[in-house]
Amino acid sequence: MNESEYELLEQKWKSFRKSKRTKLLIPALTLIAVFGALAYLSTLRSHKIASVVSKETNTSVSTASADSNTDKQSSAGRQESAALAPHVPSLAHKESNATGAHGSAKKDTASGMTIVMGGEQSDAASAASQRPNKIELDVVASGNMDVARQVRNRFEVTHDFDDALYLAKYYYARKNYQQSEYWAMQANTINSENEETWILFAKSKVKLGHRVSALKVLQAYFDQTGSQRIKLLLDKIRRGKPIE
Amino acid sequence: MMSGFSGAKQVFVDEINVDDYIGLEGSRAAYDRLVNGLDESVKIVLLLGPPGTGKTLMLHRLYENLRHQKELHLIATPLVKREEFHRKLFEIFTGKPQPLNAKVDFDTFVQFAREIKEERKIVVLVDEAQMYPADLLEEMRILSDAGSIKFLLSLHKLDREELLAKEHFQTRVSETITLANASREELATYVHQKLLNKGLVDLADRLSGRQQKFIHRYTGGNFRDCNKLLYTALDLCDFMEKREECRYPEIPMKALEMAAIKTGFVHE
Repeated sequence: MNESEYELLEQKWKSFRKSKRTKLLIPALTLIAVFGALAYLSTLRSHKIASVVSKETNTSVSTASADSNTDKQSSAGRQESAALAPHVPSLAHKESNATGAHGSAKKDTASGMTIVMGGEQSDAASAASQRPNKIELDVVASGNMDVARQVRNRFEVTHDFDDALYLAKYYYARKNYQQSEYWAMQANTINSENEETWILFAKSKVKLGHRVSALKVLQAYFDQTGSQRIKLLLDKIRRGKPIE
Repeated sequence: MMSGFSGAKQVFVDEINVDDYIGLEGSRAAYDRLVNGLDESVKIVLLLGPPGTGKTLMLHRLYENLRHQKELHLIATPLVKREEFHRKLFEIFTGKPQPLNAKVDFDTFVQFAREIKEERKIVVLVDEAQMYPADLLEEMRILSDAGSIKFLLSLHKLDREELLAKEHFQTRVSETITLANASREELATYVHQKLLNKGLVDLADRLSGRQQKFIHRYTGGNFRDCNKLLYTALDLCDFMEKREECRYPEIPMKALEMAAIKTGFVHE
C-alpha cells in the first residue's frame, strides 16, 4: 500500500463514518420527537383534568377523598397477599370465597386479584387463588401431591404450556419418568420450539431404558436447531454417562 | 514466533493447511457424522455448504486422518473431462497410472468394481463436485451401485437438482452433512484460536467484543471472508503503525472499518 492509496481509502472511510452517524441520528431524533410530543400531550391532558375537577361541587371532592382511603386499604391487602402467595402450593391451597367475614370484595384490575377490604388478612391469599394467575411455576421440593392434581385439573381446562412443563419437571424430580415423559410430550405438542420439552422428554426416555429412541429424537431436534445444549446431552447419552 | 502486524497477518492467509484446523463445536459434530457416514453401507455422502464454510479443509483433514485406516482417495481439483476422470479411476482401481496410449471404457470399470466388492471398500472424496458435468456424476452413481466404491461429494449446494434430487440418485445418499457460516461466538473462537496457535496471545486478547461483532456482521460468519478481512486489517495496521497511527498489538476500529471498505464488505 502506498500513501495515495491509503489517503483515498481514508476518504472513503470518513464518508462511511459520516453516513453511519447520520443513520444513527435519524432514529434518535425521531425518538426524541416522539417522547417530546407524548410528554407535551400528557401535560396538556393533566391541565384539562385539573380544570374539569376544579369546576365540580364539594360532593365530588369528598367522593374522591373517600376513594383514596379505600385505595390505601386495598394496597395494604395487596402487599399482604403477595407476601403470602409466592409459590404454587400456597396459591393452589386456598379455594375459599373472595368475600371475607368482614367488609366487601373489590377487584384490583392491575393484578387481577380479588382483594378483601377490612376482612381477615389471611383470606387475601385465598382470594388470590380464585383466579389462576400466570406466574412462573417453580418445582418446589414439596411432597404434596395435591399440587400436581391441582395443576393437572387446571390443565384440562386451560391446556396451558407452563402447566404441562411444570408437571413434566415435577414428575421428573420425583423419578416418575413415565409421567414426566407424557407431560413433556404434552408441553411439546403445545409449543414444539421449547428446548426444555425436548430435553425432558429425552431424559425421561433414557431413564426408562429407551436410549435409542431418545437419541433419535434429540438428533432430529439437533439437526433442526444445532443447539449446543442438545449436542452436549447427545454426547452424554451416547457415552453412557449418568443423566441427572 | 511472529512479530508485529506484518507477521500476524500471515495467520489469516487463506490456504488449506490441515495443521491449522480449528475444531469448533459445529464442525466437530459435522466431522464425526462424516466419519460415521463413511462406515455405513450406503453409497454416497454429501457435504454441503456455501463457499468459505470449511468444506475443503474438512475433506483434507478427513483424508489425512483416515488414509492409513481406509482405502481413501482425494480428488481435490475437479476432473471435469471424462478422460481425466477415467484416468483417475484407473489409478484408484489399479494403484498405477493409466498408460498414455491405453483407453478403458466405462463398462470395464463397472465390471471391475463389481468383481472386487468382497475384497475392497474404496472411498473417493470429491471436492467441488458442483463443477462436474451431469454425465460424470451419473457415472459416480453407477459405480457406487457396484458395491466396492463410495463417493463423498463436497459441493456448494444441490444445484444439480435435476440430477441429484432424482429419486434414483437420492436413494443412494446415505448422509447429507451441511456446513453453515459460524455464529458470532464461534467466529470469535475461531479468530482467537488462530492467533493463539501462532503464539500471538497479546493480539488475541486485544480484540474487543465490539470488534468481534463488527467482523461477524460484515463477514456473515464466513471463515474465508473473515480471513480476508483480518488479513487486510492487519496489513493496514502495519502501514498505520509506520504513520504512528497505531501501535502493536492494538487494532484500531478504523483499521477494521477501512479493511471492510477495501475488501468490499461494506459500501462507503
